Parts: sequence; C-alpha cells; structure tokens
Amino acid sequence: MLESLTLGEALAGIERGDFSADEVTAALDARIDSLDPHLNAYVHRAPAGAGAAAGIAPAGGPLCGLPFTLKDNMNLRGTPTGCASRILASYESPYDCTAAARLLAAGGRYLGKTNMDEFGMGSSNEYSAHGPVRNPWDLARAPGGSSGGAAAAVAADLALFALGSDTGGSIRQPAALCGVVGAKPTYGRVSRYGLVAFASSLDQIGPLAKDVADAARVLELIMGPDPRDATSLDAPVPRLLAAARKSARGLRVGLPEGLAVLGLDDAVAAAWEAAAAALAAQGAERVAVSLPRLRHATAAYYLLATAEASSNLARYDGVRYGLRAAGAADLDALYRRSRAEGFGPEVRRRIMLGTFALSRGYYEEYYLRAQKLRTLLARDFDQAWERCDCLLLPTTPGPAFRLGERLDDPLAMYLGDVFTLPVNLAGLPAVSVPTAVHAGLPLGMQVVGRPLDEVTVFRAAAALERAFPFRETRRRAVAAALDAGDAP
Amino acid sequence: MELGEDVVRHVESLARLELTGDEREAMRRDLQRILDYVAELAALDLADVPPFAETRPGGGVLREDAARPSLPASAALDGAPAAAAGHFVVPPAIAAAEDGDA
Repeated sequence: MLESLTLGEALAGIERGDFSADEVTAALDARIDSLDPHLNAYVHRAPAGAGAAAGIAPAGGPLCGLPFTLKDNMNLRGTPTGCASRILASYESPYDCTAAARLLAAGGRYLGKTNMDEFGMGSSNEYSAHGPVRNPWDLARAPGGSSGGAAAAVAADLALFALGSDTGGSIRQPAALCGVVGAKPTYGRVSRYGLVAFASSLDQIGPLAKDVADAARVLELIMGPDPRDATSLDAPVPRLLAAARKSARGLRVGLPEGLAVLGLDDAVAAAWEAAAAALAAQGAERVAVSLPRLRHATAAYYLLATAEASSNLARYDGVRYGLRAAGAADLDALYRRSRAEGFGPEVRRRIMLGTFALSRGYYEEYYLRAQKLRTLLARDFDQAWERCDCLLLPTTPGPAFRLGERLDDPLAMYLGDVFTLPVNLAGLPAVSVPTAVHAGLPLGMQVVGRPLDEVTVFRAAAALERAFPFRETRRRAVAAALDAGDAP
Repeated sequence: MELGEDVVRHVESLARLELTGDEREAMRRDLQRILDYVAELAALDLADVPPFAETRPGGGVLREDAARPSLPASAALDGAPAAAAGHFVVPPAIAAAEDGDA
C-alpha cells in the first residue's frame, strides 16, 4: 500500500531500502488511473515513468525522488498551466515557478497538476473549465476550493502531498472539507514567482498534506527569499518539523469571541470547543480575545480581492497567449470577445465587481473603505497578540456542502470563507488540521499565528493532531465513499 | 446603492467584457446582492483610518541591477494566437466601423 504512505513514512522506507521512490510513484499512478475518473482531481499528468529517466527529477535530495503535484496555476516548463480556464486552455509554461523549482531541486518529481476553481476564484471547485472535483468523503459533495483537486487527491491517496495557493482560504478550506492538513505561511514567506496572480497582496503558496509533519517538511523546502519576487521576505527559514515535535505546554491560545454571530454550525461550535479543550489538556492556556472587525472582513475582502483580480486579469487579451476570439474587426473587439469567451461566470463576476470598486465615483466608497477596514482588522490581530501566542478558530462554518448547492448564490459561497479570509487580509500564517467528523464529513480547525511565527502555529497544529488522530478515520471514510461508486 | 443597467454597461466596457442582454441582467442582480452586503462598510466610521498599504511584515529582497538571461523572443511568441516576423499580430486598433455596439 505504498500510495497510502505519508511523506515522512515514504522517506523513511526509502532510507531503509524497503522500496524505491519510483515504486511509490508507480503505486500513485495506478491509483490515479483507477480512481481519478470518480474524483476529477487531476487536469494534467506527467507521462508515467518519465520522472528521473527524463531528467525531470534528480536522484537524492531531501525528497529522494518522491512525487509532488502542482495546482493548475503554477508554471512548470513544458507543462500546460491553464488555471482551469478556457482562456488559458492552450497555454504551455515556458518557465518554472520558484516553489516548483525548489521541490525539483530538493529531489522532488512532478506527478501532475490538480484541478481548481478558475484562476482560484471559488470555494467549491465547481467553477472549473474541467468540471467539478468530487469530495472523496461523499462524491455528491464539493471538496471545497479553490485548491479542491489538491485536497481531494491528498485525501484519497492520489498524491503524496500537493502544493496549493491560498488567497482567501483556498488551501485551508478544501483541506478542512476533505480532512487533510493545509498550511498558508506568512505573506512573503514563499515566492509567488511563476504563480499565476489572482490577488497579489493576498496570494500565498503552501502545502496540502496527510499530516502536520509532512506539511512542515514541504513548507521548509519552498520558503525563503527569492530575488525574482520583490514581495518575498528576507527572513531565515524556520525549523517547522522540529516545532511540530514540541509540546503545546505553556502556549496561550486565543479564542475569538462572538463567532456564533458569523454563522457557525452547532457541530462546528462543538468541535471548536473540543479542540480548545484538547489543547488545554496538553498544558496550553485558553485566552478569550476580541476581533471586533472580523465580521466586516468578508465585505472588505470581496472588494479588495476582486479589485486586484480585475487588474491582474487585464493581461488576458487574446494577443500574447491564450484564447483569441475569431473574427474581431478591431483590437478592442478582440479584447472584449476573447475575454467574454474565455472567462467563466465567477471570474467575469469578480472582474466586474473589482472594476466597479476601482472605478471613478465608486473608488472612495468601496475600494478605499475596504482598505481602511483592512487596517483596523490588522490592528485587531495585533492587539490579540498582546494576550495570546496563537489563535484557534474553525476553518469553515460548516462541513462540505452539496455540489450545486451554492453555485447560483455567489454571496452564500463568499460567506463560507468568513474564518479563512481575514488571515490573508492580515498576511498571517495559519494551518488547518482535521479534528472532527460530523454526519460522515470532516471538520477542520485552524491555528493562526503572529506574522513570521510559523513555529508556534505548527506547534499548536501538531498538538491538535495528537489529540485527534485522523488518518484511520479518513482512510475508512474515503474507502467507503469510493466503494459506494459514482455519485447519483 | 441601486445598481442600474447603465453602470453595469459602463463597468463592462471598462473591464473589456461583452455580455449578452440576459447575462447583463443576471450580472446586475448578482452585483446588486453583493453591493447590498458590502454596504455594511459604509456605516463604519473610518475617517481617521489610513488605508492598508503593506501585507509583508518585514523587509523584502533586492537584487543586483544586473542583466540576466531572459525568455527568448521565440519562446515568448510560442503561445501567441498569431505571430509573424518576431511580432504579435493583432487586428487594426481603429476599426473599419462595422463593429456592432462600439
């Protein structure tokens, strides 16, 4: 059962000589062949057996030739990078994103690219030109998004670990809804070079993994300054794997007050309380904190993220790459028709909203007010850090929802990001850990830390994982769902 | 605010999109609902608050101002829908005036 190993177990097995990295990759390939038709997690795959032989993966290195997946918005030379959009359907990357280059340099091997919401815009993976991903716990439900393919692949043992990107929760939310670990580092920790931009002041790359230690291993490999990204931080890479082995004793864990107002399922509230109690049982101290502007973060986020997106997506013009509409008589018609044909409904909606928020007459009332709210939200977090070392809050207000349930209600979709997007607005590090199962579906809890303090976040996340071992639960649930066959 | 079709048309033009009549009305309704929701920001006193300016918590990286190899022009043109003689090919910037709703 090589496909069900964690990265840590695979590395140990290779070191002992029990099996090779190629055998692990072959096992994953076979499982993808057999199960991905049910999940739709992959949009591109490396040719089988291509890895080391084709010079894609050097032998050795900390990853020992083991495979990784990229999200479909990450460039890797010679692979399609489509962002799950019609407008980039024909695009092939002429260069490598830094995060992927670092995994390759560490001895990693490219396995494939995972499905996503178009350009990262969505929370269900239903807004994809490749069709929706199905949640491996219940094939009738969404895996979350936008890194839905990555989360489903890791949860169903179709990937050893995956890279995702997180603009408002796009790593942590699907990780929570699929019962795996997802980590978003401090803004600037991981280079964004070669990550197709959605909202540049919010986007970060991070891992989705089978456990906290694996997430720590991967994040250590991809963090660090990059001269190609002027927003990357010039800060030393913290020792996260070591942090994940430390006890939570003495940690002051902040619990924000008033979350119920934001729409919290009873099951999630109970899981949150259980998680806080588990940390306290391991010697952490519970501290009540107040984040009064949290309730306005969703409104601010959906103005700011869309404003940045409207600017970033101006580059898709049918001229330099991607889809070009046929028969346009002049340049402006070429732009308008190519974009109308190439962008899906949610991307169009966000471009429209963002363009509106930045337009003359509305800028002050919308974009500028949202940026001011962002300042206040960041101050709320700063004040919380005077009282606690990290925050604990649910990753999502509820479990995975049914495919189609929110598709025609964009606002309902947005409101599900209420606990993840404030973290991006303030640029903070966070890790989501699966801690509970309700009605057969996983729930995730999120540890949020001070800027640059991934060490504390991983310490608390690992303590949660020790209290709520999840692997066997996930394995059984996914096996049952996949045995039950295709969705109705 | 009440979002009228005229504003939607104007934003559509700014964004270089092209919607059909039905799409435009659906877009107007969706945007109206979202704007109704974000109106909560209008009720806050933000007069003395500076707009947020920097997500990054520390110093960034600078690089030497030195020439480095860049993408060869041929590779940059590989993905172009139309290219000739080392350039991107586009239709005329000024139309021959048969374009419908310009």
